[in-house]
Amino acid sequence: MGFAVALGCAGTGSSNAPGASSSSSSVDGSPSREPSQLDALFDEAWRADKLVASPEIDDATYLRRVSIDLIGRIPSFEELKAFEADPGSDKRARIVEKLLDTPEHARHLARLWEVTLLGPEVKSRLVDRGALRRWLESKFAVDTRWDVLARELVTAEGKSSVGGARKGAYLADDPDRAKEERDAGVNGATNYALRFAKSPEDMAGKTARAFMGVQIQCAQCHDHKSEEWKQTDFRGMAATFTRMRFAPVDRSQGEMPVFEIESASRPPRRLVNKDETVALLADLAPRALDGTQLAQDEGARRSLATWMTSVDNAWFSRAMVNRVWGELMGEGFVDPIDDMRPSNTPVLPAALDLLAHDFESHGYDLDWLYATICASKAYGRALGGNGQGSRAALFSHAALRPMTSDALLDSVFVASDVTSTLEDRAPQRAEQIKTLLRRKMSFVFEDDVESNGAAYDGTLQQALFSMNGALSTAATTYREGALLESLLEAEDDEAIAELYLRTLGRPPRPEEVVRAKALLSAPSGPDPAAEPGGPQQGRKKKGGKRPGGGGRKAIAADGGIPAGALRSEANSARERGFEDLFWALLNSSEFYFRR
Amino acid sequence: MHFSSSKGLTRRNVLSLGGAGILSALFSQLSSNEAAADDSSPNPAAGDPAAGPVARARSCIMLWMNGGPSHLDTFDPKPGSKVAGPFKAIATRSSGVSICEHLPGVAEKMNRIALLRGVSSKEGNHQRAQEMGHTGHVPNPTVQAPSIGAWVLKKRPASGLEIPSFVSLGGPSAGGGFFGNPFDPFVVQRPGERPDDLAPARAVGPGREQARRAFLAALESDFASSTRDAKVGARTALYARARTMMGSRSVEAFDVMQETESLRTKYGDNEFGRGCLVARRLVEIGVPFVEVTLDGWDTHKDNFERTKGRMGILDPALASLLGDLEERALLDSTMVVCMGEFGRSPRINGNEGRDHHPGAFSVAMAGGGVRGGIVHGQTDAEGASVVNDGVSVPDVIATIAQLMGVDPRSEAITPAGRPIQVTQQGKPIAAVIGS
Repeated sequence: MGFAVALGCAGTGSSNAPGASSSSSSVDGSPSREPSQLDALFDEAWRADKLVASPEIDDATYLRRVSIDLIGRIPSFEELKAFEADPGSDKRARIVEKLLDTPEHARHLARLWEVTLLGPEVKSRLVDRGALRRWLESKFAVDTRWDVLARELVTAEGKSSVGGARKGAYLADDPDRAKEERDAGVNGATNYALRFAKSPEDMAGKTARAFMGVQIQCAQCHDHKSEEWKQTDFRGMAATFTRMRFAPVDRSQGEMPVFEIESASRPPRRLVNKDETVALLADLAPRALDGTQLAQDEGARRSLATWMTSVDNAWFSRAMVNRVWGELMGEGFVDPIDDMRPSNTPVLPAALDLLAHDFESHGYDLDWLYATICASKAYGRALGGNGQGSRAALFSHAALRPMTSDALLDSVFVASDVTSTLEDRAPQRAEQIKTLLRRKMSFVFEDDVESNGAAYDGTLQQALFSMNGALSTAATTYREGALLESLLEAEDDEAIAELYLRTLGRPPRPEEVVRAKALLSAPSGPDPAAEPGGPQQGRKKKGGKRPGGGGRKAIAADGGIPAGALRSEANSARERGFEDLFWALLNSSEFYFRR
Repeated sequence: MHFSSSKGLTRRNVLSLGGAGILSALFSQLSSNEAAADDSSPNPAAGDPAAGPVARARSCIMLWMNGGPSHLDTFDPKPGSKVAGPFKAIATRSSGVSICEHLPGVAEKMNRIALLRGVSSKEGNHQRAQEMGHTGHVPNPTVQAPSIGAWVLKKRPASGLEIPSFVSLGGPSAGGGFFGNPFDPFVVQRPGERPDDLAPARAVGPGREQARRAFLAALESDFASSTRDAKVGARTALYARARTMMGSRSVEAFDVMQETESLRTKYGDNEFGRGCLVARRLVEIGVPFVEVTLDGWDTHKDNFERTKGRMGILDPALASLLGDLEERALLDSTMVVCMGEFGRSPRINGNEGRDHHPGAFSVAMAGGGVRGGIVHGQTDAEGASVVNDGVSVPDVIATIAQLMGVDPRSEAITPAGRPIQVTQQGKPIAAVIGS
């Protein structure tokens, strides 16, 4: 069947030819300064379409972009200063290399892939999401090649969780739990299969979508209306995922269940008897999407994984390249990002082909892929096009897009150094609070996975949270130990500049300094009641905890931030003015969007 | 019959409104600047209110029974059969119709209720069945279908409302799907209380408030002109709506303490009871779609005790809600739908429980153009399968759409380029649509 044929791939070329990155750098994977073949393709495409590319962004903007894109947060004040001061002409390549090497990058990728694989919400009561996330993080942290990772995910066997209290399971950044899992021999990757335990077709559909960028689920019920896939092709692949068993090991009431996932020659009889689709698939011969016969029994998943990740299956590299390009550029060559059917043509197919080919020849090295894109001319374009999507303009300009809720949370933390405020009495508490906040924020800021970022998709709850939520207040409060206290020891000009750098990643313009100073000297009396939890909060508690005045034990209903962190010690117009300035900067669109 | 905006302002219910707040809020909306509502839909092709069926209902209150309530132990009892369990059936105000003895308040209101006993689906998995129960579509990984609340928000947004048009009390409900975040419900986690974050966590004096807003406005204006990106303006407009909500008297609708203690007790001093009372207050000021969730119906174990407990919460809340709406002359313009994702098995398992049973279950509907006092659909002697007048979940959702003035055949294009309708081939159930 014409899977590979339908692609019309670019010729493979010789491995010595200059590729997406310059040939001399292909050994260690870091791109060099010479104009690459990739850049040349873009230059040519822009010229042919008479597109005037935006200018290149400056260093501070570049650092903000790669920080958000690679480690999921804005750069800290110290990081910005260090980057500005770095005299090397290859500092952009070096900072990318450095960021790719951080645990934060591994965590960032793990979060992205957790959502891609399991969906945005906790939909299954069986799945230990944290375990999958920790597994992913451990793989990304050691630069596991993408084909290896994909194979391990698809063929995973073993124990899904350490069980225990449900609440504890989701504190994904919990190193103690990670150790527990290692000691118990848990394979977090099994949670991917567990997500689809009763539905081999959904597993086939998700696997094809996540790893090959093809949406074959329509062929679940009928031959695809517009593409060539037939129901039989899809079913052959779905049959592969019936060659597994999910044996419950521990299903204590109210706790995280534990399953043992293993390959098997047949699905369990109980499932076959209960579900006629599973019964049908259990009798079908497992086949790859292009009809290739696979191993029939326990080896079915392994042989599917081998087929899927082989260089003969061009879908694999193209899907990942398109996905990472979309992550970094806002839109993929193909849109939607994971709908790469033959009739959905990419923009700049030659660029996609080149990157895919080089990704393969670099052994599916993700660091190489990220670094190459970050070094490309297209990535470095300034905003332009009056907010029109960048894909439509062949990536000749960048476009604004929002940060994810995780990135927003981490960015507020970095900008305001609020951790030190929270760590007041209990250092470990800051991490816990951050986790609670993360949960609240992902609830309030549920990332719109369907959105292509073309429109602003905010909700009232997000706006209210940003304006009035305890996080914003705690972050911008003037009190002992908080950022503003030390910052205000400097002169106004310096303090204002630092706030702009911390939040927006750039120094203020002269007229902005003037405006800020006016804010600082605006007459303002002391705040109405000084007590938090007083009537001005407009909040009545029914049962549950009332916010106390102490701040040590009492926990406000709001993301766990102690009431004490909300109390301001600002005593002058200047101090109150700086709180207001900080609040406005954190609420600004320039902070919120990735530019 | 078109809904007229003067409904709800008759002398009788003006006097019975809980506090002047609601009244003044209603008046202020009628005269308020309606521009604020226009950016509720970022999609420039939002539905034209003039098209579509005539709306019988101004609002819909969906009471979502999460977990799948046992139909045999609630609305479709089979007294005398071997699957009956310990509960008796009692007569209701709807002649010839009996329901479980633990729903006495609802029994008194059966003359206003259309009871669908022939609902069935193929989805026995909670998450899938919940999604279908909210969207009228079989879940499909290629498309996130919008929920019925999102469709109402898109096609029939309420103009001049200073609070959201799609509210979920107790959450999570189902969201806008591919319509995007702005079509998600506004979720109130603690029904009966004002929503979170409506005021700054630490009060700022009015002078400061003014100063910092002005500074933010300048930042926004600069950024909007330098980027020339409409997204910045959209965000600024959203903040403006948030501020409107913060300062709006309509927010009091969320606060049950504005009602008398006796009424609050009548609905039930629990999250669901409060949620139903808030729902009444919200539809009173014109919120088109409100969902209130009651969890805990997934009774694989100890079905009878637990279902009885659930009914102890449902009965007073639903009966009070219907009575309250009726008293305020709101029932004709407010649909109330009580449903869960599936029913439960006739067979009682080894844990005194009943298991998932999508093959037959019940849905109760009232108000907003629904014909009261009827039963449509019938199950066999043990409630295992539908024998007469069966309807699908999409049919139920299509009925809601129709009565809310949203043409069930309305189409939207998914991101993958596929057109879908409001429901997956659902047809409004003619038998329940009154004249």
